[in-house]
Amino acid sequence: MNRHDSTQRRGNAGLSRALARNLVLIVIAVATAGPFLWALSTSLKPTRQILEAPPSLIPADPTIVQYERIVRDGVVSAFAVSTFVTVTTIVVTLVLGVLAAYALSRFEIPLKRSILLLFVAALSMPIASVLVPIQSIAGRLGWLDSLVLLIVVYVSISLPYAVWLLKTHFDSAPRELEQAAAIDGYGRLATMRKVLLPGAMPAILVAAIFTFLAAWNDYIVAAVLLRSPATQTIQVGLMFYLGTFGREWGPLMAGVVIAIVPPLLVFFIFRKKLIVGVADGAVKG
Amino acid sequence: MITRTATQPSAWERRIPQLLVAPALVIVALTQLAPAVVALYESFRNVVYFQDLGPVGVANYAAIFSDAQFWTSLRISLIYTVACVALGLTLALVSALAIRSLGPSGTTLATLLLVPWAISPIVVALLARWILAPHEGGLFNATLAIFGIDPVGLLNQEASALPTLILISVWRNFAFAAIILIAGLARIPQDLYSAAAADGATAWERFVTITLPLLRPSLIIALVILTISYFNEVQLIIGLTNGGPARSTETLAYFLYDLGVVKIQNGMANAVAVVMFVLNVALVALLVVISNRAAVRGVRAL
Repeated sequence: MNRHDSTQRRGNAGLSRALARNLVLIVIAVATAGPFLWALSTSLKPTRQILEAPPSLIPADPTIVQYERIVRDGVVSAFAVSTFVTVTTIVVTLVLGVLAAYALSRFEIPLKRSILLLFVAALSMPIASVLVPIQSIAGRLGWLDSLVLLIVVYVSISLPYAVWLLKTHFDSAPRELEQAAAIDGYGRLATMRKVLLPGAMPAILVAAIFTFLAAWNDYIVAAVLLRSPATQTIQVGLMFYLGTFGREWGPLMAGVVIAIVPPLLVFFIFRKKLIVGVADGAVKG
Repeated sequence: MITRTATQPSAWERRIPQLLVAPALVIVALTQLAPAVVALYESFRNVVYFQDLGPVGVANYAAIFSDAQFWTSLRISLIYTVACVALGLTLALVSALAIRSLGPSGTTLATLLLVPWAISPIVVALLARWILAPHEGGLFNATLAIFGIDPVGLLNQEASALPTLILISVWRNFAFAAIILIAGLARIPQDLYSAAAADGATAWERFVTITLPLLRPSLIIALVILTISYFNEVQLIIGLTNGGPARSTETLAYFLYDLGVVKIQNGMANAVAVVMFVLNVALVALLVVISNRAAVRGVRAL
């Protein structure tokens, strides 16, 4: 083969490969960020500009009237309910998860294998199948509309993953430090607080992020278990607005923007931890 | 005295580990195990709007299996799941390879891809509905108008609703599989490629003989996770179509939601829940058996 020919061909191939890469990059960027930017753009337009044809991509004179509208319609209360439920879920999940994972990792417990099996089975239990019987039980006992029940269900959704993740961490953490702490006269609780927890922080953080996303982004559990408008989470609120506003996309998109700010913040602050967690393959798709 | 307490912990102290596990165990058992038992029990009873009207034998199951909508929904579930998994996995593989070839900057891109997955399905549904709106202001139809094409309501027509739902579902979740595949690609030793290239193997040959076989464990994990999550997807469907138009997007998961949560036919819905549960277990078992060794290797590799 002619040598000159082959280098030139390789050069062309390199160029087209670079082009293809950039194209992939642009397509991905537009396909993922585009819809969110469009929602932001819509939410900043006055109502008459929203239904304009052809639509302008960037609002000519940005306004916050859509946000004022959605605030009047109770988005603040929905945001507060979501925040309260999510934060409580995270705290309860982490406390119970750390305690259970620590005990399962360090001590002999009767029926340990069965307990671990239950957590693994719960890991792959789709919520849609258990929600119908949960609603059935809650309805009979008169427990619908209880934020406590909602939090308990959220905790049970995230707890199996948290226990699995933290147990894996404790299993691989060296025991020498704990033994040294015990020799130094530390009690069990003090050992846990001063020795075990600092080392487990990265794993705890990953569990917290996935618990946050599961609780904040859930619609169906909240929609099924909470019936009164006073206790609406932000996701239930959005569906409610869709029903009442109909074609009024301005306040709806303002609501969407408000609803995605917390998960986007968490996502971009903790993106590296999130990627590692997903790559482990134990989170629900 | 001191040695005795150290070597012989009191009965109370021996209980501590059990007490530490108990709260987590009780919560998970009560909200995951107990409902499964209740579902099985109520599926043999006539329960409507939380009122137990007594045992009915297998009447609930008979009613479901003779309901044409059950079989239609099962068929729609199969089409939806197979199409989403096939498209999602292909897209995940292509983007994983593309991102891998980008080097370090690819990681940032992979992160960006995952954003729709981190956003709630309801928000994704609202965004899609607004972009596809068949009236003034809809971005998709405004783009079509530039080419002189009349507006279409992709989500409002029987012929196009399911394909549109599938595309939106793939858009939301495929990056999840891509991340798993990128992690799998990173575990393939690079010298295998240089050795093959030295032997004169083409890029395609290297892909078929090195990448695909070594990526199999990750592919299986992604396949199982995607299959289960698409088979049980219901929130996106609620947000996008509510099963319509004319029940053309009513999967089995939506059929269950509609029967149990909307119509509150607890007995019959629980029978469907039991069927769904059995199908889920069968699905996982099938996928794992088909590729048992690869899956085991994959789990160990984690």
